[in-house]
Amino acid sequence: MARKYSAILTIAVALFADGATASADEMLVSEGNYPQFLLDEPLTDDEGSDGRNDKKVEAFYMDVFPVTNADFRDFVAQHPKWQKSKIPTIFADRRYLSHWESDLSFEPRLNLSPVTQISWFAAKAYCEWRGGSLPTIDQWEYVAFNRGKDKEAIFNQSIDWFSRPNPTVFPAISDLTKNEFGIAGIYGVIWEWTSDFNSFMSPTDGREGNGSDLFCGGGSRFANDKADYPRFMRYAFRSSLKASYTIRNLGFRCVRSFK
Amino acid sequence: MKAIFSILTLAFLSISGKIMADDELPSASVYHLSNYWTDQSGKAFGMDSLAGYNVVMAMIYTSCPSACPMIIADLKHIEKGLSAEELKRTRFVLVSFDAEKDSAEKLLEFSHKMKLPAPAWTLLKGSAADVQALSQTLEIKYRPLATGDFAHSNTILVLDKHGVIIRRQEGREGMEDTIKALSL
Repeated sequence: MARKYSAILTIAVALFADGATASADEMLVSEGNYPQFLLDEPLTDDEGSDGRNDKKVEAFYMDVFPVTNADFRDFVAQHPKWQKSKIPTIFADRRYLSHWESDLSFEPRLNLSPVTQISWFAAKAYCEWRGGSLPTIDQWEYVAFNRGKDKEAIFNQSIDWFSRPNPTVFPAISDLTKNEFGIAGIYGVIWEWTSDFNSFMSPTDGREGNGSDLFCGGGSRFANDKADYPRFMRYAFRSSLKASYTIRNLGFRCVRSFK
Repeated sequence: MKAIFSILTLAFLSISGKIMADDELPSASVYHLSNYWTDQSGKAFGMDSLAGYNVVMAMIYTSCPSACPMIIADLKHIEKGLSAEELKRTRFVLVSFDAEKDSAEKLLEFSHKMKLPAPAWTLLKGSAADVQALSQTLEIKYRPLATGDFAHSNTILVLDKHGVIIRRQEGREGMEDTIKALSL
C-alpha cells in the first residue's frame, strides 16, 4: 500500500514538479455521529432533530483531494482495459473520459483538476487498485456534515455552486478549501460517486396503502432537516444515477478502512 | 459419416462457446464482471458459464418475508409459459443480497423449500462487494436494514445467450413480455 502511494507520488512529482502536492494524501476521519437524511417516521411539527436519529460512522481514511486526471492516467496506463477505447459499454457510457484526447493524453492544464466523465465501475476499479474503495453514502455525508460546523457557509457555497455553470477546466485540487476534517473540495466543485449510491429509495408518498396520510410533502415528510436543500439535491442526484453513467461534473475520491 | 459430422459440429460448438465466454463478449454483456460466486451445491460458479443460455435473473435473500416469494412465484409463472424447447435453452438464476447470512447450505435448503431444482435453477452467493457490483450492473436498488432485512427493487431480468440484458421487468407488470423475450 505505502509503496503504491509513494510510486504514485514519485510519478506525480516527476511529471509536475511545481504544485504537485500529495494527490494521494489521505486523512484519518475519526468516528462520530451525523444526522440521518431520512427518518423511519416523520417528525411532528414541534419536534426538532434532537440527535435521536443520528447515525454512528466508524473511523476511516479518506483522500484529502478528489482523484485527478493525472492520477487516473497512471491507473489506465497500467490497466488498459479501463482505457476509453477498450472499456465495455456495460461499464461506461460513450462519454467516458470524453475530455481526454486519447486513451492516455489530455491537455496538460487538466493534470491536477479532478477527473470527471468517469463511471462508477471505473472509479471503483481505481480505488481498489489503490487498496481502498469508494466511500459509502454514510461516510461521504458524515464528512460533508462537518461536525455541524459552518452550516450556513456550507449551505451558501453549495447553493452558489448549483447556480453556476460548469467551468471549462475544474480548479486544481491545490486550490480547494479544506473542511473541519481536513478534506478538500467537498462542497462546490464536483459531485462525487459513492459505493452504495443505489441504496437510496425514496419512501412512498402515501398515495398507496393507507391513503389517509397527506402525500403533498412527498419524501420530505421523512426528512430530518427539511431546510437542508443541498442535501436534498445530493440524494436526488444520486438516485438519478446508473453505474455506467459518466457526467461532466461527477468525479470521486477513495477511502480506506481503518483497522 | 453423419455421426462424424455431428461430432465435428459439437466440437466446433464447444470451442466457439469457449471463445465467446472469453474475448468476444459483446460490449454490453453482464459477463464482463469478474466476480466470484458459489452455487447452492457449494461449488464455485462463473457467471460466464451461463453464456449460451437465455437467462432469467433476479436478486433475493432467503429470509425474505414477502417480496422474494412473490418474485419466485412470478419466475415460476414465466417458467410455465415456456415450451419444452425454450426451457432447454433457459436458466433461472437467483443471486442473494445477503452475503453474510446466506450460505450455500441456506441456498440449498431454500431451493428445496421453494422447489427450484438444479440445473434449471441456480442460486448464488458472493462477497458483499460482488453483490454490490452485480446489483449496479443489473440496475437493482437495495439497502440493508437494521432488522437484517433488505429493502430492494423487485426486478426480473432476461439476459440473452451472450449476457446482454434484453428485458427488464419491474414489479409484476409485463410478465407476458418477459415470456416473449425468452422465446427468441
